[in-house]
Amino acid sequence: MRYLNIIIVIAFVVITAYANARTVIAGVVKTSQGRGVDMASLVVLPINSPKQFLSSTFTDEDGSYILNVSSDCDSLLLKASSIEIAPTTIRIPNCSGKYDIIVEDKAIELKEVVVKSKKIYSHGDTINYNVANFLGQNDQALADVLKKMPGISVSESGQVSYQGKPIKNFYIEGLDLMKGHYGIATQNIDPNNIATVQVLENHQDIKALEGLRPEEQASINIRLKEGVKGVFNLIATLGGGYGDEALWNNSAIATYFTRSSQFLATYKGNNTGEDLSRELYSFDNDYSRTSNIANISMPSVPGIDKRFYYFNRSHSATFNNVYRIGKSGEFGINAAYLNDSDSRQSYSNTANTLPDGSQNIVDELMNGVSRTDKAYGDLTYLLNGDTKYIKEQLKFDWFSTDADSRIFAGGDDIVQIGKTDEYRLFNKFHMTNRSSEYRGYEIYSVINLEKRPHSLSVNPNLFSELINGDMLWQNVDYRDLSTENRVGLLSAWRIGNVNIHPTYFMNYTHNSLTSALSDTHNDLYLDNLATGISAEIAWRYRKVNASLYIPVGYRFFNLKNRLTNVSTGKNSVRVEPRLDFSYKISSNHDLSLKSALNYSSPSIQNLYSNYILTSYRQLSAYEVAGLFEGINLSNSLSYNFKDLFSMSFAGVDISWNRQKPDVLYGSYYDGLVERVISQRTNETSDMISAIIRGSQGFDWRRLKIGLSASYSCYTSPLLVQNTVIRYSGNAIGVNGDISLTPFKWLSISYEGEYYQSASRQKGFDRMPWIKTLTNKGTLDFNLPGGISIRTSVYHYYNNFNDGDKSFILLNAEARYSIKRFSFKLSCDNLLNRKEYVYSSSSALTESNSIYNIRSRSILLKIRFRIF
Amino acid sequence: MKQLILLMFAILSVAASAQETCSRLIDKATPIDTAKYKVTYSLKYKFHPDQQEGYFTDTRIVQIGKRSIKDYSDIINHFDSLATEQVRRGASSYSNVSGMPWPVEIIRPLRGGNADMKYRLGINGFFVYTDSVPSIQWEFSPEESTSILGYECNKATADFAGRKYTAWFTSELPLPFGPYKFGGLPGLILKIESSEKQFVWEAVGFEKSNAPIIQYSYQDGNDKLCSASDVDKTLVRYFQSPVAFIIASLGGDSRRMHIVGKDGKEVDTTDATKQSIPYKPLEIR
Repeated sequence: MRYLNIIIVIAFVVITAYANARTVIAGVVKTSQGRGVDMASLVVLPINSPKQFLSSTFTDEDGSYILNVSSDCDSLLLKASSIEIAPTTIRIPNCSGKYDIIVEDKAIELKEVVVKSKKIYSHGDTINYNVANFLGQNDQALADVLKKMPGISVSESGQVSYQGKPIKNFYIEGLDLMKGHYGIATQNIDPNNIATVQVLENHQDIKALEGLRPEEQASINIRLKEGVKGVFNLIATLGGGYGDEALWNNSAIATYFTRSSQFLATYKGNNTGEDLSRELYSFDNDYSRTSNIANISMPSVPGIDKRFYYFNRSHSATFNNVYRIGKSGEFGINAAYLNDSDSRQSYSNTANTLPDGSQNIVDELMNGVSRTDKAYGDLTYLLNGDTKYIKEQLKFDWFSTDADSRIFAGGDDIVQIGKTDEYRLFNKFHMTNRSSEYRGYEIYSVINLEKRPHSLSVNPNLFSELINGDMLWQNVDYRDLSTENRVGLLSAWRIGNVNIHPTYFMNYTHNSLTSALSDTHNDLYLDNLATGISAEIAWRYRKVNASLYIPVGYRFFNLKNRLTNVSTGKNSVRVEPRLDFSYKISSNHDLSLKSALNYSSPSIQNLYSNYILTSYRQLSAYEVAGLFEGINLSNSLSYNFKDLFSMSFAGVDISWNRQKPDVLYGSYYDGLVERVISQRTNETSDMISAIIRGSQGFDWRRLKIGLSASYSCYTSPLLVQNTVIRYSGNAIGVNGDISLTPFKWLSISYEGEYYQSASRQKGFDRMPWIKTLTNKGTLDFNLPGGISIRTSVYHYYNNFNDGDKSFILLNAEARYSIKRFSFKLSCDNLLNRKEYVYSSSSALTESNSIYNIRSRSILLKIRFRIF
Repeated sequence: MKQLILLMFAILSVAASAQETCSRLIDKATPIDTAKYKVTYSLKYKFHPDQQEGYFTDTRIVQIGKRSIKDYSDIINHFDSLATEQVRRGASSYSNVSGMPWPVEIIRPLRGGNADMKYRLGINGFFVYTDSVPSIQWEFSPEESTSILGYECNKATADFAGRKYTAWFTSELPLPFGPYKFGGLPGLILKIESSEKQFVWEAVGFEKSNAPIIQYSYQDGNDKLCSASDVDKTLVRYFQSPVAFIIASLGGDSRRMHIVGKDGKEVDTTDATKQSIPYKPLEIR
């Protein structure tokens, strides 16, 4: 018994000593009905610091728990919580014991954070933008949504760029319906019908060249919502209103998309300032080879939104169709017609700096109308198989413009009439045949036939000392027959990682020019043949692509003056190397470097020796009639970054271009009139430019911020009054855009552009900086009942303007939709401004202009689905 | 089944491509529990802390039911479902998993015990094994708090399987769970990372749910039943030479395999077998 007492005393001492260091708490968490709570969390907190967790545990299925705590506090807080009970805290002494906690049954309200589908995700080289995450209630065209996607931008002309580079192809469900005229699609397809916009990075559109030839341009593919496919849609819009005259704005858009064929047809007509020609631009590089030599002088357009100054009557109709043929073929038809009339009025004052530092100043008050008809029709057959690619495209373009303008200048009342017709037939054939992994051949051939007769008449004759007659009447015809042909082997030799692609090329151009101005005539033609072989040495290793392209060609020029029967010829052998290097550092970073050297060819536009009236006050003839070539060297470096998870896109582009012309062309000013002059030269011009750009998307409030800053500087020779002067300049530009939906009822978008530039004539002070700022802000309010209101403010600042340097325009519109009808009531130019004053400055020429703009107008549009 | 195995990868970016996860056709889906809560985590991970290519990413779903917790890759699940549907509709080939999701799936009971694990290894099917879920001794850092998804979170640290982890948990959601085998804190773990940041889970969503927790079985069942230590050893061997491993699993006949680099050209298999991927397992045992 004595021993037992001793053991109990020792045990008590040990337990007490231990209990001073660690308190053992046990018990049951139960409801008032006595039911034990399973999985309840228990935490012990010191009384003096109730946020400090000392210990934690969980109850067993019967609600029991046990906890060890080590603390100096006298008292502790014991807190029980679980999803199914009201959190309960009891105060207990800091000593071991049994503590039951009675809790109340009460499910706690949990705040949920629902994961939305990702806005942007990637799959290999394809970046998918989930359209629903970028779409706003007021977005009516695909272009409105594309602008809000980080990494993508849409220019004023409708050209879509990804990471600052224009896209190559625009597909709808994998089919190239638009063939370069994708502005029609981006302006007319309802974004509500689109599920996903896919950016196909480095997309080699020729399957037979996949893995053999890298492609640096991205393409875009539009994925439609399931319910849209196979459904014929016809949406019509009728609009009427009043400004200075009765206004109308109507359209009809028909679409039908299936897996095997696609169809998009549009009609649009308005006199409300909406530019329809913009939609018809082709972003293919199949440019016209001729241009007007004589131009009617029309008021030059101001740099503000075209809808404000465009006094138009326009109609356009387009038809676009593509059919799938077999597994990998397609046949497409694209046609369009545009009829447009444009009235312009302006006053301008142009000052040209002369070599002695003085200025030649011309004041002009102009009033002009031009009427344009334009049509194109393209037929395209495409076979894009894994080993065989054929593209055969036949294009017809027609363009006719008839303009007259009246000018008060230098005390004269001058009347001009100008007419231009252009007819063009263009055929492109491209074939690639890949016989094995690296072997195959490629044939490429382009034929262009073009004529551009144009006339200009001017009354009175401002050059009476040179050309006889009271009035001038002139006809010019400029024609082009050209062909470019290449036949090459895909990879004739392969040494390690190096592939060599040899190509034979033959390019031939025949240009002719005839003109008749009173008794002054020109009749000449220029032949240009370039033929030779080129080798492309391509090295691909890991993430590096490098290719050196070396064409060695024989060039032959022959200029024949049919009036004098004199021929001038020139032969040369030219090497025009080009180096492309790209390094895909990782999926987020890539780097590319390009360098090219080439020779410019003489142009028939600078080779006629008798006078042509190039504008009402400019007479041109080229005294240095020789076949001169210039050398151009261009180098560029670009770095791109993207991180899809943080929706960040950024990049830097740096370029340096050097030109060394053999001949300088310039002007001799004499009061109102101007003569074109030319002179041989050894001068060079250089231009360096750098752009840094970034685009960031956020999940928060659909925020997107885009920003780019550019700097450029140049130094160049200029021929004025028979003297070669050197001038240099600098320009800084900053562009920004923001879109944001802070609340369900409000979205905000902003675009801003700042630009400043100045030039300097060598030996003189720098001309003052011209600084311009454009701000465009839009607020969209979504009100209850499906009504939305949009207000837009346009602000233009120009520090060269006299008086008021800032100019503000306001627009407002209200929309309401019910069933298949959507109503839009808009008021443009709410402040009813009548004129826009602006200034510009470039290459020692400054001008100040006043341009009439459209007055306040009101327009009601009803949009409804017929099918 | 006759298979022509064509691995597309650039030989010098083996780490990024060799372990490409294949879609599997779902044979049977058995509901084992009903999820009451669904937590979505974004997971960033590397095969090795020094991995140059940066993180691989995954979207992980943690379903918390009455009895079980399932942690799986939403990306792999999406592609499995897609492939199964494509084949059901008559396709002869199907979409493969894109990206590099973490090929681990865990179903474990709410309380302790053992977890049913699956590790999907490239074209070699699954390792199916059970692994213990140890109780973790957490240390609280009362001074530090942060907000994740709008929930107030506290910090806790612990040692687990040879690494030190930092976790952020919220008492606002009194659920003692987290991703993988993590749990035991007085609130849901919303973020957890290993000290060298080889694995970083962060919650991006929390929702109530009523969806079933499904245990899948797959067609072409070349699933290998094995022990956790077998899996550890095999993975070490795999990462030492993924190509040699695949060749060995095809019966050692290297002619059956063609390796095509991203540039489209064939890579010599002998060179390819010399490539290894630096690897440090999640659990260092």
